[in-house]
Amino acid sequence: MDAYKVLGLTEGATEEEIKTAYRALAQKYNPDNYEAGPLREEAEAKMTELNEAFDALMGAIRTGTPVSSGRAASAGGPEPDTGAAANGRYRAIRQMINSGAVEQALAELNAIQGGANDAEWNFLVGSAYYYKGWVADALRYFQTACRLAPGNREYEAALRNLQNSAGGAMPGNPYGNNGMAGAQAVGCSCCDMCTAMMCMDMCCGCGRGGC
Amino acid sequence: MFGYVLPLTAELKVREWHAYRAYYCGLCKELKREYGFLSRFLLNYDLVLPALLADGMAGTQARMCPERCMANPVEKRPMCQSTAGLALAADALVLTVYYKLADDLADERFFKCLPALALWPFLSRMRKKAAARRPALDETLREQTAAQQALERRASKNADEAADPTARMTAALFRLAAPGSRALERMGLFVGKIIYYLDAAEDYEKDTRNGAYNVFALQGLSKAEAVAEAQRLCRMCAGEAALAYNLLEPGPCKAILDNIVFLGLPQSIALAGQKRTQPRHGA
Repeated sequence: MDAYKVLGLTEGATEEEIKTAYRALAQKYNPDNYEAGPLREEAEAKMTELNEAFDALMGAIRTGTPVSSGRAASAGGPEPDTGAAANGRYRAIRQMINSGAVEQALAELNAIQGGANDAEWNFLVGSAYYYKGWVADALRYFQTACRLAPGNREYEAALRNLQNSAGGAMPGNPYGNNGMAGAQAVGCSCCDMCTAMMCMDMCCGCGRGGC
Repeated sequence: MFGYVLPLTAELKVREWHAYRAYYCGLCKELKREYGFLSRFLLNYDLVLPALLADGMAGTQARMCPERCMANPVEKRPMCQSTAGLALAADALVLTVYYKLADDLADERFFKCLPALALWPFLSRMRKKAAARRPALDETLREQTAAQQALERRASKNADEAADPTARMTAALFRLAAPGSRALERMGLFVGKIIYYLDAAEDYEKDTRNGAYNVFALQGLSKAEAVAEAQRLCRMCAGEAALAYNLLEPGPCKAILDNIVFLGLPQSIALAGQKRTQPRHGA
């Protein structure tokens, strides 16, 4: 593994540069974004590789002393709802969804009587649709799950991610989440520079000295 | 015809814009080389993205050579020589156009596509060649076209269900771009959905006029509501596509790909429902 390549840096990068690069990439691979979906393992692998590269480079700078820094916690996978008693049937359905057997999971869920009134049932149906890529349906079921079990962090995270995307946010956006506006906000335009020159000329004789 | 999956050219560096255009021209040349002169009329921007991704992830640096363009014969331009990505895009383009036409014919809407109908005998021949090269993709397109017809016959009002066949077709194509990459396949799934929804928003009036299937019309939405709903759905899909894209190693064309994903897609989504009568880029 080329640690510099992983962090997108060249040899001789300073500690500050390494940390900045790490933070940007950790945000991109943030496990929170992938917890509910089928790319969780890929994201975890990327995060692990990133952490290893960071440790290697920081270790090299500090001449062999390993550094523990504020690295993003690598999630072990979706945790069952900690508040409720673990329902064996739901646990099996979670396994089905995580292994990609989505249609089977949906069939099992639809066979459960009165499921629509249960928060976890709604969350699991939403998760199954999310795995399939049916995000509109997933959003509806996540909304119901949050309504039935307010305060459940797992359900809220899943709902929030989709709502943010619906509002136009794109995770890991290199242009900043203001899109074009963000890109244009960086740096001065010709108009800015001209105006600045005119102001300087009026105020202080264009740098020649005092008023 | 021209595509929804485009870069925001205003934010591309000039050399990146030239590189993107060289790929687009390269696709045209590839089509001509493999499928004959007439196939160039099928050209579509959407297929440039999987070509870039396929080559990028394989680490292929495409060779550029100056060549003449049929549409602009005066000066030579740098154009990509054949790559695995362009070969895939050309085969996929022929197959998708073939099945789209076959679908239209089945719906007896063929009188609307007379120019395309004139291509039909050539298209059948081209399709045989493409299908021999990409049998799995041909099979998926055949299956999913049938699935699309089935859900339209039962007048499905579910937007996710309506977009599913297109999503699966695009996912299958992206799967071929880098076999084994689940992230790339998932990205393809959502890009397909975006294309479907934008298409449905743009065709809303035409579809309601002709009595053709339109999921937003069936949901009882007005044109303005349909556009808003399409945009909401597309933004969710764009977010998911970005999540998948972030896990890829895009290779030498990363800057162009970042632009397409994070600037180009939102731009196309913002323009949803508006008729695009000509390509936004100089030919």
